[in-house]
Amino acid sequence: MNRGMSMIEILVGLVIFSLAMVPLLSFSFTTTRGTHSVGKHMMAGQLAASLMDRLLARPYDEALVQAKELAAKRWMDALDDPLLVSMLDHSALAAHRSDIEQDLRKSFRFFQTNVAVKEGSGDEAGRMFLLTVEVSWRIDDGSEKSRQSLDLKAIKYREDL
Amino acid sequence: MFDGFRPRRGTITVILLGLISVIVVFAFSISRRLSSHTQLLTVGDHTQIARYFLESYAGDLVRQIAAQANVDGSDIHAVFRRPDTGDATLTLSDYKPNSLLSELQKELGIEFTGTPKIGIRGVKPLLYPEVVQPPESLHGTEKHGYLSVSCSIRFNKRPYYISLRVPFMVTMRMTPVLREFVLFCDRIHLEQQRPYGNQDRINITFTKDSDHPKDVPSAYASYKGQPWVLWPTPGFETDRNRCGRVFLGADDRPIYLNLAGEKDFQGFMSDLWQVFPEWIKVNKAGSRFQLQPIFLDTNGKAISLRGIDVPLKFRNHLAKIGILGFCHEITPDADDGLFANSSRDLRDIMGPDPAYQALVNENPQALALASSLKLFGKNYEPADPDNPYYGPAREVFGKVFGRFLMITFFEYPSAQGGGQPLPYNANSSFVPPPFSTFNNVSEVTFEPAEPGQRYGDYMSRVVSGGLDVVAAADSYLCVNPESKKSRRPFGFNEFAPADGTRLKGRFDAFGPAWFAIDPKKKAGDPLLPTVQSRISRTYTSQAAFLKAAGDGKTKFRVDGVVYVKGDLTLGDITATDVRGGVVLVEKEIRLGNITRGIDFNQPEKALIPELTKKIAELKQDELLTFVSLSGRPIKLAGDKQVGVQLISMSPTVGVPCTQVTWEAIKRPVFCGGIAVNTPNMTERVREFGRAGADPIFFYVPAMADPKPSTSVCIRPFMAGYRLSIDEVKE
Repeated sequence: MNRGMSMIEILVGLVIFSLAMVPLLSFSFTTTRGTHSVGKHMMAGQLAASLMDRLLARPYDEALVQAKELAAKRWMDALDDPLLVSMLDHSALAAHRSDIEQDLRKSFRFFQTNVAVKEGSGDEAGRMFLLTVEVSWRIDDGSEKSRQSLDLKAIKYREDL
Repeated sequence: MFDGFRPRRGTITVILLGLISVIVVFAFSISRRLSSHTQLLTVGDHTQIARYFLESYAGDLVRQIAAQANVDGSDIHAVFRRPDTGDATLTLSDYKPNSLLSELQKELGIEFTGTPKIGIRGVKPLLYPEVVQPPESLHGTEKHGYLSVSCSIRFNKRPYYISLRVPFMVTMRMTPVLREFVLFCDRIHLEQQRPYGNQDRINITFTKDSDHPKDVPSAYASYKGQPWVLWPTPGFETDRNRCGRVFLGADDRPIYLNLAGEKDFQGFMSDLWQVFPEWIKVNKAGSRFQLQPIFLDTNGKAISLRGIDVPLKFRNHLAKIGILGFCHEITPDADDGLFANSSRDLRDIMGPDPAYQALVNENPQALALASSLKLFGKNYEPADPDNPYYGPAREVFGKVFGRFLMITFFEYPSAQGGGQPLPYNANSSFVPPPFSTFNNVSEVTFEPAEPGQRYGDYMSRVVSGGLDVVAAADSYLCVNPESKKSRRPFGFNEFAPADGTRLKGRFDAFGPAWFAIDPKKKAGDPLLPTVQSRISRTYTSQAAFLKAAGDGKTKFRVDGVVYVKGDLTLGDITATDVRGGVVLVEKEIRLGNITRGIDFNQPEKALIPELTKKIAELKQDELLTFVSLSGRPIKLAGDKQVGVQLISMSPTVGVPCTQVTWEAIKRPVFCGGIAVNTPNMTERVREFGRAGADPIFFYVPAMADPKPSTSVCIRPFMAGYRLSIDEVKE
């Protein structure tokens, strides 16, 4: 009997263990949230870069028209981007299209994009424009207040001048 | 019991301390992890921002270089045009970022660090097809390579660098070889399958009174029209390079052009000045042609022609040689003709000349039909026969012969009827039987002046007849001012333009070799020895091309060799700000006027001096070339084109077809060059006949510049991209 632990000892041990676990769990929760948030931020960066690259890769006039069309729509759900959706039409993706669509819907829910265009003026008119691509997302899926955003800016030049 | 409890107290303390340590370590590592996440995100975001800024910065540098590369006088213009393929450095000494970039720089708090480094690297010359041999001096004129661009910035204390390669090419603004020609037809032989009758579709211009009247006699109704007159550019008539060359092919197929006749020695449209007195081999004394009586017809009427007297072996024996061009005056049915009211006619004089027989038998109207191509403009021969006139120094290439009639009379004392004709004989060494004197008192024999001379050197015949090859082939008249020296047609070996380019093969091999487009290869592929390797930009539609080139009212800029898919229809180009180049068009071309600021609504007296001044001042880098790659017709909706070369050639052309056509022809003016397989002269003659005024065709002297004008094209994509980030520097 003397060699075993009393009930009090066990209870004290449990209390100590519980007290130790509270910050551990709290840390763990913060870490998980942080990782989730980092992932979303990185996805937002990739989304902004891909939209920017896609527009920059077009010939000047096409890029300007497309950028203006996107700018006119103001904030737009990422999944409403017709080009992003049209990529799913690629034959190589046909077999897994529904899975990919599901993934996209899950991943890019609450992601929004906004494009702004500022054209050159004076001598620079018709020769260049500043393109701003902004992406916003919810850190906490359930809260609109948790929305964050990042933006990228680049200048597109007319190729034949 | 007391002793046994002590160690247990110690155990809890150790456990507690252990747990606290684990929690501290765990908290520390999580905190570190979270801060690394934040740092990672910050670096990632900053890298993206810096990357796009650097790309915009590099893009601005390239844009500014491209803007100066084709502006004559700038350092950058000169660097790209160094006649070598070595590396070079470009300096943008007064670089100022564009306003958008400046704003962005301020907004992001970015600092430009160092001077951007821009170099020309990896330069290689563009290739030529085997038939073309560019001179050493042009080696490196057309080339491709890349711009190496490096620039750096500092953003949030961290340095970022970017280096990238931008491909460029330097190409000629005009088509080599073809730009030397005012007219290049490499299959015009298809329009003269036989140089007689209906298969001769070149000699189809009715000629009368040293002119090509618009209203023709009813018997010649089907020949109504105007010839294609290629005028020498005023001020450049004696410069063989700047006069504009002509090629009529194929290289090995003879083309016969009927020289237009005249009424009284001279005539504005007469071509007989092309027959040099030196061409007559027996004219050892070097006599000049004069209007002189050649023979008396049987009615005793003296018939005077452009001619010379050649003394023969015996005293007072003369060969009276006269030349006749093709015109209504020499036809038997002309009321006011040379042989009207005469018992002599050409048939008696020419005798059995097979060429003459073929001419008149196959087409009774042929003697009145001169060439529809007038390669040297109108006749500017002086009235004084002591001043020989050789015409403009325009070089004509190909086996192109001038066809005319030579009639010779043997005149001797007491000759019956003023002299006896020496008719054609297939045997050039023929010895004619003795001729009787008046009243048959005695007989005289025809003896050439010198022992080596033969009857064939004197006899009447159709010169360059086309059927007398054996008898008189060595005395054909080459349509070429230089033929007085060489007496032989000019082929590709004689082609020696001022830029030093030479041909290693036939002229008719150039078009198929140069304009070959391989659909499996991409435009601008530098390994192709064709025009395809020179294509700097491809436009998917004419709208895209026009957007880039300009509306033609304020500017029109091609700059290099471009390819337009589909058709191309251009309105009037009235701008003076024109930067030249070659526009390759997949399908049909329709062009409006290209006036370059000239007012064509003024009287001809004022217009011509202004026009000739303008074309003398035009530079090669202002000239436009339109090429129909399919060989389909280039349609000219406007009839004023200044500083333009039109090329429509296809290797599949096997019959005469229209490749350049004037749709609305009123007062046509064309200054530049035309290269086609076949001009389709039957159609052109009718077309020009519908014009209200004589069509004017001039060559633009700058097309033959010894130093070809080039254009730099910096291509709109990046290669060899490298972005690097350095440690944060305080």
